[in-house]
Amino acid sequence: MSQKKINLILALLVTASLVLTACGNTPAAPAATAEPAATQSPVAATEAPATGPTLADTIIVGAWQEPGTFYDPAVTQAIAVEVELIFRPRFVIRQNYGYAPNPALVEGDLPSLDNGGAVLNDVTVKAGEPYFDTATYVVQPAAADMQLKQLVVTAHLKPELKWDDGQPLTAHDLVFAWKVNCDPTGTQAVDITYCPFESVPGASGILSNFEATDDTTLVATYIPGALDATYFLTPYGLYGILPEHLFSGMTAAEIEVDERATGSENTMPLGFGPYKMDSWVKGDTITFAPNPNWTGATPATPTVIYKFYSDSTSLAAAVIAGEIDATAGQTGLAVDQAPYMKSVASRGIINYSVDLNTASFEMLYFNYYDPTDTTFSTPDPVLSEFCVRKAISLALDRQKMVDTIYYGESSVVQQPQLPQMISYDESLGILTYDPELAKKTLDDCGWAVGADGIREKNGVKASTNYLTTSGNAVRLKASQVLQSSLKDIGIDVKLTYVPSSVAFSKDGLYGRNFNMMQFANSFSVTDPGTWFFGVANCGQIPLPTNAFSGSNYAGWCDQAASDAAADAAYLTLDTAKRKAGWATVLKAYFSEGDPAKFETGGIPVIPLYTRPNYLATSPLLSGVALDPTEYITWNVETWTLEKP
Amino acid sequence: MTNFLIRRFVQGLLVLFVSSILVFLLLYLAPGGPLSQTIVEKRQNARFPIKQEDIDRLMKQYDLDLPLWQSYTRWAFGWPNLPDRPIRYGVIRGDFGTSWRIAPNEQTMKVILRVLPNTLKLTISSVLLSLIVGVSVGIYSAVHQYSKMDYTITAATFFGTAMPVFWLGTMMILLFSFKFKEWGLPYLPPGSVNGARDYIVPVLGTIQANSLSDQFLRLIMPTITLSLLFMAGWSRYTRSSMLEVLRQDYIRTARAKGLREKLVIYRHALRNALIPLVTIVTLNLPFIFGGAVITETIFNWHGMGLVFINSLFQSDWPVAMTYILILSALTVASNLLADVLYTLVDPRIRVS
Repeated sequence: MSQKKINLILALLVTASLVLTACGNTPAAPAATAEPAATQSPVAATEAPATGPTLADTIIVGAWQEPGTFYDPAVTQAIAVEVELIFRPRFVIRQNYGYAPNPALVEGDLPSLDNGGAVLNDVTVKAGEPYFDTATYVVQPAAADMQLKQLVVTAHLKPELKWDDGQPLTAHDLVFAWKVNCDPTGTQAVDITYCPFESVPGASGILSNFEATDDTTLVATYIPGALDATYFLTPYGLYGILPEHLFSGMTAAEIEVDERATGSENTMPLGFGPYKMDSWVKGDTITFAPNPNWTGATPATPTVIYKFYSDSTSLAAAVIAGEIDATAGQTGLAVDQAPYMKSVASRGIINYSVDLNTASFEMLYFNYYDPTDTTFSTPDPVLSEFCVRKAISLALDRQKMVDTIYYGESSVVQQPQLPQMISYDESLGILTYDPELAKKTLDDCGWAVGADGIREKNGVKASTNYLTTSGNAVRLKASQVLQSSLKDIGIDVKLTYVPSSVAFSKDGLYGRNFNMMQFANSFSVTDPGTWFFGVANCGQIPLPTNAFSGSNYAGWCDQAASDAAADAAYLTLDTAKRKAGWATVLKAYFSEGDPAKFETGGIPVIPLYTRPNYLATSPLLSGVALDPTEYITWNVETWTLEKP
Repeated sequence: MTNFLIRRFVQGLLVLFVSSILVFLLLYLAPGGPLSQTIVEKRQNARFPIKQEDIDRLMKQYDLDLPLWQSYTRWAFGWPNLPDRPIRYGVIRGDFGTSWRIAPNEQTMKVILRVLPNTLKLTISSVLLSLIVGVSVGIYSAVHQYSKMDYTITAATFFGTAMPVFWLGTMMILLFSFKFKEWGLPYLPPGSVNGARDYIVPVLGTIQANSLSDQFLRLIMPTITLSLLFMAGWSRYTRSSMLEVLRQDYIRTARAKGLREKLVIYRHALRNALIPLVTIVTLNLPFIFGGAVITETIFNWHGMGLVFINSLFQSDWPVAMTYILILSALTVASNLLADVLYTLVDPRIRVS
C-alpha cells in the first residue's frame, strides 16, 4: 500500500472517529419522572468503607469559580464559604436546619430563653438613646424615657482553642471581626444589619453591643425593644472571625487589603478547623493539610485540594475523567448537564444525585400599583385585581416549568414558603393548577375575551410585563412557560430581561419598577419571621416617601395580616403565638380581602419551584452528603476515597 | 524610514487613546456591573439581605457614582483626586487599577501577568505546530498541484477552517479522554495546565502531577485544537504563494541549470514564498500574548483568554480593560512590526 493511501486512510479514520464520537452518547430525552431516583434531603452520607480497601491520601473537589477573598466581612461568594468551611468550620452546625453547637468549638448547648443562655431584662431607655420602635419597626432615638425589654444572649466557646498558627483563638476574635465590619472606614463589608445604631452611616442595626467578657464568653446585647427569633446564632460570629493577634490596632480599610486577611499565593489566611490552608495557586488550586492545632477528630484524608475550572462543562469533563472526586452546589454542575451526567452515572463512571429539598425557591412577585405613577397611588389596571392574580396562579403550569427546566427534578412550592418552615400548614390552603377555573375566574370578574384572544375589561387589555434577570437560562425557560400558560387564558405578557444589577436596583425591584418579577430567595433558617414580615407588613411597602425601604414590593396591605406578621417577627418569641400569627397571614394570602380595597387582596407573590442541588462524585468517594442548609464541605474531615 | 516610524508611532498612540475611551465606554455603558453578583448573592440571604445603602456605599468604592467622564479620567490619567476616595495614578502612569472580583484589591497587571506563561506555552506551541504542518502541507500541495493528495489536503483545510473550536475541543475530550480511558487505551487528560495528583495512563504508566510529562500530555489537545485553524489557513497561504513563485522565471532558470528539484523548491522557491507569511505570522502577535478565549475555556487552560472571559462574566472591569488595552497595544505594535519586517525581508519593497 502506498504512503499516500495510508495517509488517506488515517485521515479518514480520525475524521470518522470524531464524527462517531459526536454522534454517540447522545442521552435519551429524559422522562419527567423516570431515571435514577433523586435523593431526598437530607441526603444520607454514604457509609465509609469497611476494612479492606486502601484509602487515597488526597481528595480533589472541583468548582467553576475561585474565591476572591477570605476576608470574612466581605465574603459574598458561595464558593468562598464552601472552601472556607474546610479550614474555618462553623461554630453552629446547620445540618438540615438542625442548628447544633459544634462540639469541637462550642461549650454546652446553644443559648435559649429556657436554658438561661438568653434573657430578657427590664431596662430604662433614656431620652435620646436608641430603641426599637414596635410601631414603625425601626431603631430610633427615644423621645422620652421608657421601660423596655432588652434581649441579652450569652454563649461560651471551648477553652484553649487555637488558630492554626498556634496562637489562642478566643471570644475576642469574634468580637474583633464584628467591630471591623462595623468600622466605617471599611469598604468591603456589604452588611450593616447588626451594627450599632449609627455606627456606620445608615446603620439602624439591632445590636447595641457585642463583647467578650473573657476568653471564652460572648455576650450579644440587643437594642432595647428588639427581639430576634434567631438570637441563638448571633453570638457565634455574625461577620465571621478575624485573628485579633494579627490585626489588632488596624482599621478595617487596612485589614481588607492585607493579604493575611484576604489570602494570597504568598500568605495563607489563618483558620482553626480540621485542615489548614497549605497553598493557593491562583487560578488553579487551593490545597489543605491537617491542622496540628485542631482538637477535634483527625481528618480521615490527609490532603484536600480544591481545583478551579473555567466553566461547568470543563468541570463535568474533569469529574467524568476522574480528575476530581466531587463537585456540587452553585459552583458545580449546571441544570442542562443533568441528562448527560445521568447517562454517565448509569454506566457506573460517576455517582450522581440531586437534592430536591433545597433551601431556595423561585417566586413571581406582583406589583399591585402602576409603576409609571411615581407616587405609587394608582392601582395597576390588571394586576391590582385579586381575581387576575388568582387566575394567574391557577393558570401557571408550574409542574411544566419543573419538567422543562429541571427534567422533573425539582418540586413545585405550594405556599409562599418552603415546606421546611415551622409555619408550613397545607390545611390553610395551597396553590393549584386549573386553567379552566382560571378562565372562569376571569370571566366571572368581567375580563372578557377580545377578538385577538386577549381579554379586556372596561377598555383595558389584559396585558402586562414580566421582568427577570438576564443571562439566566433557567429563568428564560420559566418565563417562556409563564408566557404560554397565561396566553392560554387570555393574558398577554411581555418578557423583559435585565442584568441583576438593574433588576435589583431602584430601576427594578428596589424602586418597584415592575409589574411581575421573578427572583429567588434562600432560607437558611426555618423561622419565617422576617420573610412574612417583609411580604405582609403595611409599613414595609417601599415608597418614595420612605426612600423605598422595606420589602413588601407588592404593596399588599391587609391590616390583620400585617399586624400578625409584625407580632410574630418582632413582638414575641413564643412559638405558639408566632405560629398563630403566621396562620393569619397565610389565610389572608389566599383570600380576596375587602373587595372595596384592592390592596387587601391576597396572592402578592406566587411561589414557583425549588432550586435543586446537584452532586457528582467519584464512585470511590465516601462520606459526602448534600444538605439544604449547608455546603458540601461541612463534613469534609470525614470523607474518604478508595484507591482505584 | 525614520519619519515613517515616527508617524506610525504617533498614529499608534492616537489609536490607543481612542481605544481606551471606547473600551471604557463599552464596559461602563453596558448593562450589569460589578455589583450584579454581590447583589444576587446577598439578596438570597434571608438573614442579611442587602440594602440600598449598602449598594450606594459599594458604588462609591468603585467610583461608579461619579459622572462617566470623571470615572474615565481617574482611571486613565489619575485625575482628579477626590476626598474620601483612594488616590489613582492612572493608566498613563502604569496604574491599571485593582481587580474588583477575580482577585479583589490585587493589581490587574499582576493578575494578567500571572497567567501569561500558560498562555505563551499554549500559543507558541500552537503557532510552531501550525507553521511546521501548515507550511509543509502547503508546499506539498503546491508541488503536487491537482494530485489526489492535494485535493485531500484542500478538503481537510476547508474542514479545519469551518470546524468550530468549541465543537472540536469537546469532541476531542469525549474521544481521547473519556472513550480512550473507557476502552483501556492511552488517554489524554481533559484539561488544565497541570494535574493535581498522579494518574496512571495505560502504556505510559504513572504520570506524576505537574511533571514535564503531565504538562506535555495536557498540552496536546488544546494545541491541536488551536492549531487546526491556523494550519488550514497558513497551508492555503503557503500553497498559493508557492504556486505563484513556482511559475516565476527564476525558478524555470534554476531548473534549466539542472539544479535538483529539492534545491529549487527549498532554496529558491520557498524563501520567496514565505514572505507574505512573515506578515501574517507577525500580525498574530496579539493572539500569541492574548491567548485563545474559547480553547482556554474548553480545556480549562488558565491563560489570559480565560482570565479575560472570567473578568467579563464577573464584571471585573479593571481586569477586562487592562486585557483589552494590552491587546490594543500589541495590535498596534504588530502592525508596525509587520511593516518593518516586510521591508527587511523583501528588499524590493521600500516605504515611501
